[in-house]
Amino acid sequence: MVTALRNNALWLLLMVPGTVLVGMLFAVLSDRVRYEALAKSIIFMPMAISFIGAGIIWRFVYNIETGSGGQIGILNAIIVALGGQPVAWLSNPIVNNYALMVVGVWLWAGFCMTILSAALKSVPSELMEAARVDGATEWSVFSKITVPVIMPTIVVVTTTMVINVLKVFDIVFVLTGGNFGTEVIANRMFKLIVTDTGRSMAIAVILVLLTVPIMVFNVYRFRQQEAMR
Amino acid sequence: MKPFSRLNRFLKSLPLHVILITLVLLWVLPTVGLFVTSFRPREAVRTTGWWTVFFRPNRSAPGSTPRIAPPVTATMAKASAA
Repeated sequence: MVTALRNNALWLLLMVPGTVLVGMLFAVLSDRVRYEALAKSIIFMPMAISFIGAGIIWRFVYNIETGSGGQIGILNAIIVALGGQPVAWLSNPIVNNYALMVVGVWLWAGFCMTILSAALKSVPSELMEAARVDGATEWSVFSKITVPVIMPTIVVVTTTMVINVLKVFDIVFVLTGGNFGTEVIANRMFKLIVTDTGRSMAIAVILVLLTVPIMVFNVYRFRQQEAMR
Repeated sequence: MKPFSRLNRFLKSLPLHVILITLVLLWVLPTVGLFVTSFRPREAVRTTGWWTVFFRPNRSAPGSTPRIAPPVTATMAKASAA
């Protein structure tokens, strides 16, 4: 259980900023090119795949062959081609949690990108034009105008991602089954549901309690927004 | 003057295109892997990576290794024995 809690904290700490930042990067970059629709649909595609399917896709990527045969997994094939030793991405406790988080970012970045991109389009262009005329660099236009204007959307995306990451289950279940020190709260709950139902239910309650502060924060923020109107 | 300014604009936006296209290709790569794998015979999936399809098309193309089915009489004998 301690492992599960620690892993969930790690997931929160790394995957939430990871998805939001990558989503932001894609939203900003694709906003400036003509093939925006194509690029965005490709980034969004993992969201359309079932999570179990995504897990199977990444099992192929992370595959390791310990025998004398060639590597089937593309990641280890690249490492071996560059002269390194193949890495057991899913069973080596040093890297496996991060490997799972990469899958999480791959899945959810499209979701963040879509919402952030919609917000980017609603930033009034007069504001940005005015700043550019005054000699602001692209970076300061982004950090001093774009980000503050779309801040409410960033907060919404972040809270949604926090709840999603707390609930994470499918990725861990398919890729490692919670073994090798990758267990998260939802996996622990699932594992105990038959053998120790009472404890499993207790874990479910913990999971709900963890999401309560975020829900309270969300309600508080909505109220504040209503009051502003 | 006109073509030069155009070239200049293109060169200015080149890093943007390179970064975005690289990221998009990186994002689609795992799915392409599964897509290619779904067309390959089981033996080939177990022994070689899916990308080898693009380098050595003859070795892992489906149907290139003749698979010999057991003679019909043998399977019939097994069925009758069971």
